[in-house]
Amino acid sequence: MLRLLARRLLLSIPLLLVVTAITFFLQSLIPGDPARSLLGPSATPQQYEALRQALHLDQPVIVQYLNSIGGVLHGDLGRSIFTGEDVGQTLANRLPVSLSLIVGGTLVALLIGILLGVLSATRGRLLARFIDVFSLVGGALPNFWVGLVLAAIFAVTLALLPATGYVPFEESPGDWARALILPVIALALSGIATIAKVVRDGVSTAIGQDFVRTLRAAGVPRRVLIWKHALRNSSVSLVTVVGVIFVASLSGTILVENVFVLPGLGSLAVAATARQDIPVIQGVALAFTVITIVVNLLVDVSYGLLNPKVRAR
Amino acid sequence: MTSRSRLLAATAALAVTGIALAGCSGGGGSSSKGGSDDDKLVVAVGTPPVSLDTLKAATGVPGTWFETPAYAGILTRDADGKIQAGLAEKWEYVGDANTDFEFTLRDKLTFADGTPLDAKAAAASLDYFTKTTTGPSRAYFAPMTFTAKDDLTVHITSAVPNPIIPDLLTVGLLGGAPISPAGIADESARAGDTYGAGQYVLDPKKTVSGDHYVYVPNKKYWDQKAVTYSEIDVRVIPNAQQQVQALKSGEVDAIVGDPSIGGTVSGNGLEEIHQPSTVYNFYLMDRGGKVVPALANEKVRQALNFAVDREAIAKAALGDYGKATDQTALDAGEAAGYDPKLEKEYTYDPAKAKALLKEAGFADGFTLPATYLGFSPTDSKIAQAVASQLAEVGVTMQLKSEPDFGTWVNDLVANTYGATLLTGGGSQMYIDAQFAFTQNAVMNQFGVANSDIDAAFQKLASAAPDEIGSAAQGVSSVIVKQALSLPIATSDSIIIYNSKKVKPYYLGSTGELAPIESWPQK
Repeated sequence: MLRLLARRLLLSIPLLLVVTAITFFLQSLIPGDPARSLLGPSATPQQYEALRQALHLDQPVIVQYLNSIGGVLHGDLGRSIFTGEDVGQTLANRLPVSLSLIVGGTLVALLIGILLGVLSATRGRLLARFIDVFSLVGGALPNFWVGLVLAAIFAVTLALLPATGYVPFEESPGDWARALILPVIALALSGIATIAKVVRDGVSTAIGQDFVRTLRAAGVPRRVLIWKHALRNSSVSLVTVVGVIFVASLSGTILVENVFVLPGLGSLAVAATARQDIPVIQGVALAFTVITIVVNLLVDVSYGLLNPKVRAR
Repeated sequence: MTSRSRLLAATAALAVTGIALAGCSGGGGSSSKGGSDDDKLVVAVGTPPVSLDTLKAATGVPGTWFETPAYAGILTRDADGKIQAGLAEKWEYVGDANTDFEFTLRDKLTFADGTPLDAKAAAASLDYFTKTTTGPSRAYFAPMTFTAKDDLTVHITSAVPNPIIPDLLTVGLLGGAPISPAGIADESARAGDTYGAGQYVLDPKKTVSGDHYVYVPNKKYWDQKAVTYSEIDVRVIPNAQQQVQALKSGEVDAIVGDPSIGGTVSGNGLEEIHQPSTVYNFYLMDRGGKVVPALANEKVRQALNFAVDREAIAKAALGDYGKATDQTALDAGEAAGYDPKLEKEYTYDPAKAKALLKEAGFADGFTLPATYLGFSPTDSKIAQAVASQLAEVGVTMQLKSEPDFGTWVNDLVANTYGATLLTGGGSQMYIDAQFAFTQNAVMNQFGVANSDIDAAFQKLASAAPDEIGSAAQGVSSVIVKQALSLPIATSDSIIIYNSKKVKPYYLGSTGELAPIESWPQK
């Protein structure tokens, strides 16, 4: 197990390099000029050149990239071209917002998805059909559209929840929860459908297997059979799906955070890209990559916990 | 408790704990909650500031909403738009040449950080701004030098006559708002923090850059009676419909509208005000004919003006929020240079346009490459409508829609486009002329000289206060009659607000929107 984790960690190093390189070189292809954006047409050529030098924009892209990587290795993600803020600090300020959204969305998807999946596997065809339709619709509806509809109904028409904004937990747990309800639902919807389908298939398969029949014959109550033994049968595939949903939620936050105007990494990515704030774009890409790597490691660890054969490797 | 309910309870507990942990892990003070408190003002804008640094920040609404709460002008304006005492309590021109000016600060002023704001600090700030700014105000401040005459008096000497020094000392163009010595010493810090002497001060702990900016009262502001809000939040909500939702749900108190949402938001105390604030204008930059030789010909430029049906374009693109105009000046006070008589100079007449083109030797038309910022649907509509109408008289306008400001600026400075669409004007003619028409103007990147403009501008620069109106109209007359530009329509500033909370207003004579910190509470 430890060897597996060590191998995954080693593989994550080239992954980080590849992702940051792709991000850097792709953004360098975007038309535009942050120095011009910052200075406008009034600046003299001398002021323009001085700023380009100060921002190292006068150097070849490869040199800029290597400088950026050098900074990261020393724990320095650089400063925003526009605000002058430390990128590391900016990410630290915004990470809790995105994590609240992603963790919340994943857990809500898990909770409701398991419930619907088990009910679908055990309570007959009608519910199973409903889950199928729900999976299809839930997977097809774009989360930003769901968010806009939710905001229109629950914030504007019913005035029950805020349409925009975020409140830190430590400032007001109640307002924090209220601010997250709609975005979490918007983000969780497709995950609910996927998890429900995976759980239904896993539990349905398990119910027909010999070990369940044996347990039933031994007098084990039906609810224990289903919620403990049959559900565990689908746990490995469930963990895989949850990992995928968590990682997919990272990209989902980009749209959902913009719909609900949440100050997270997703909205930061959009704003930074729009004005070519290179150090911030790099920082967000790095943060997303690290989160993805960590989630995949956790999924691997979970495999080990759930499946002794993996532990033995 | 059954095993199922235990599982559900455990999962629910895990969910709450997990989310709470995520919410707790740092990121303190990033609240962007709406304005439920009665004495808190929450306004929304579509884009974050390029920088909080007054040397780089945008002027106009809503750019100055990020600046004016924290930076006070040496002079200010009353509700009628007239210049009033601000940080300075006395001011006057010295002599009649419009080149020497003095102001006297109030006694015992300090910046928000507690540093004394005396004549030396004010002069240092003005000097620093003048020498360092890259913003649009650079040209207006550049000829001036500043000397602390005594503890409270600053003497300004302008190398060229300048009739609007008092206007430059208001916060509107940002240079007239002193920056503290700490701010002057740290350029990078100014991008994300404030260093002024205004009624409020940015609270960095409550601010999340790019998302929301929170201003709290400056306890050291000289006039505490004017500090009426417990907090001002300027929130960035990129989409107009999201802004409307936030306004309707009570999360924000005011937004900047546009023609697409103007008139559609009402009820529950929501109201709207609008006033002409700027002019949609194709700046004919290549008047020397370097890239587009035809533009050097006055008759060709006049033909372009006759070829455009302004009434139809204004109605289609701006509805009730714009009006066709032949001139770059707005009817916004005598210094603006607006002249009603010039409005009939270019009545839509494609036949006359064709005749003028023929007279000028361009009977078969010509190609006019033009660039514009394409992220506003209204700008795109106007640009395409103008191109379409010019095509009917044989002029092919090759439009380049740029997706971002930096690329558009690169287009300008590369001198490869003959024209560009931009909203401009609406200020004093002394400023507008230096923005677009004098030889060193920002929008005259080709550096085309025009002796008639120079003469009219010099007359305006040296004008006595009671002559400024006619002198400004003189400049306007040259611009219109020589067709130095292709104005299309005025465009209104639109503010939609919760009248149960706040009352935005426009300044009487100039038509400028009052700074947000001065909006009365209901």
